Amino acid sequence: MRRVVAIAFLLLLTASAFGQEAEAPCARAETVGECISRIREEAAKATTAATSEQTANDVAAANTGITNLQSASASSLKDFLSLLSASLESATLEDDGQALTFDWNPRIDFLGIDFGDRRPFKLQAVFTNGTLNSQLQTALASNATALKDLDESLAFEDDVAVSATFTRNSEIFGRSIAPHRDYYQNWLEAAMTANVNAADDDAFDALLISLPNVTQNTRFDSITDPSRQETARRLVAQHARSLHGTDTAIRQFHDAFAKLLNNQSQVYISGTYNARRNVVGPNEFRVKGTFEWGPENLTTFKRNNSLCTDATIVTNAVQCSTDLVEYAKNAAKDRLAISVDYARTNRRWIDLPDLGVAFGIPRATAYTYSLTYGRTLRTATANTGGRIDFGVHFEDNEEKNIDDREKIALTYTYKVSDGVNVPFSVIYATDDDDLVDADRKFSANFGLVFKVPKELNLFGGD
Amino acid sequence: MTCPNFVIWRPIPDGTIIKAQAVGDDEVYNAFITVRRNGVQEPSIRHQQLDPGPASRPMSSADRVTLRGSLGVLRDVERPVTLEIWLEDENANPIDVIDGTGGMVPARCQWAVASTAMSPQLIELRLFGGSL
Repeated sequence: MRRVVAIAFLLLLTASAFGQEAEAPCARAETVGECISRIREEAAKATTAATSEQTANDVAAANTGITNLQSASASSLKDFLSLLSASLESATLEDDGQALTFDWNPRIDFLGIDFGDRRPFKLQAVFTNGTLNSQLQTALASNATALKDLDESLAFEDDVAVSATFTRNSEIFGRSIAPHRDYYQNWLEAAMTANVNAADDDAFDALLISLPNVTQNTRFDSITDPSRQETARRLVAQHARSLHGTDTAIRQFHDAFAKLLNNQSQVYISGTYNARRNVVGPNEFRVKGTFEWGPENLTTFKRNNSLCTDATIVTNAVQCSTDLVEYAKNAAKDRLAISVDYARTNRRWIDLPDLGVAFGIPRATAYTYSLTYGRTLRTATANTGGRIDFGVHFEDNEEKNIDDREKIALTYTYKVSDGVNVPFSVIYATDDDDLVDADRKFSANFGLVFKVPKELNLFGGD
Repeated sequence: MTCPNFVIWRPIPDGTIIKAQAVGDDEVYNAFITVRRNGVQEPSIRHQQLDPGPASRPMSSADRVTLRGSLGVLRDVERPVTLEIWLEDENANPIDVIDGTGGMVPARCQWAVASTAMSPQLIELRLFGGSL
């Protein structure tokens, strides 16, 4: 009987302690700041564990695939907002075909031109080790030594492509928050002020006023009056839980907003000049216009939800947050890109008298039409993920003696971490110049993409 | 000086000016501060006032002011975005406050965010007027 009573008492104590844990005051040995941080972190972990969606990680370090404009495996997403990224791409079958790409989105204040947006330009430089021109390879097919010597003489500066891309951000196009800032802030203001309980807030102020030497660094056990210490421990803990409520509300909205912003459509135009050593091929100039489309984004949310337009979001802040979170959770992750590319290659004369080679490459003009589809794949791991991109490219050559070309590329890019992506591509092409190994119509490529920290800002500002 | 997300500054003398400024890639972040003075909500300080800023609000020794800041990025960034809040007198001299352990420190705090996983940060700064 005594054992039964003891067990029941133990169970009662345990249940009581468990029930009170949710409302436990700050510890005596904690400081005011430590207690608030601890309670907010513990509550945040509990909230995250209870929520299966990781919408923040869908956008966190957007897996943008391969950013090289020249690559047949180029992702349909463009990363305008990294100042510097480097990518290294190598073929699995041969050593040739290596490329190094630098992207840069400078601020343009130094030009004295006010575009309204501060980063409408992207500058890119692609350094390729180069591949010997196929006609030259054919001409020297019987001279393996000469071919090898020429091939080994190629360096990264033998095939350089410099490009400039311009885009304009608006409420319909672009992934910048700038056109949507008032919308975001209007909701934020409504949420942050609505989550304040005036009576509790005044009581918390009154407590702190009654303890004139207390700051966030003050330990509770330094408050010598036991009753006031007890009250302080309880009210500070209560205030921490109130702050967590606001934390959760604004974070859910922010994450959903970020995801839909990242799905915005984009329109941009780019110009590229490719300077090549004569044995690599002719110089080339191209202009390319691209339209990227994300089917469900911030613009479509506002259009389909009359309660949550720019004019009505403040009045309906609570409902809009719920609707936005739900919309973002179910938003399609597909992305489609359509582009038209005009390219002109200059005529080139290759004259190697020591090798008995002399021939000319005529000027050529071509239009390339591309269609690329991309989709981010969801994984169970928070900071990794995959992306699949499928592209079809058709090149219409104006000159009668140059065949039209087709390329089809399928790329799977695996995000190892926030700064490292590993792309794997399978490419079908009808032209030998698009393949690493001319004997095969299919090529498999494997690469590594990494982003380096911003170090350069040559034009002032941040 | 980097600070925790909850800070108390006191005692704040007459003639104090609260200053706030945010710095970062304007395309991918937002900074925002609500202001509550003596139990009454005032107009908020918006991103456009903070960057480039600085924004200013006066404060007297009779006031109690609560600033709640939100600092967040919409995409991971290499260089963190920052929000800085400090106190000055009318001559732009810094103001010191008690540190809660018997000493004095300059009333100046900075918070930084670089990843969406940590966004948005909710900061609370409670200021109490008075004298030493």
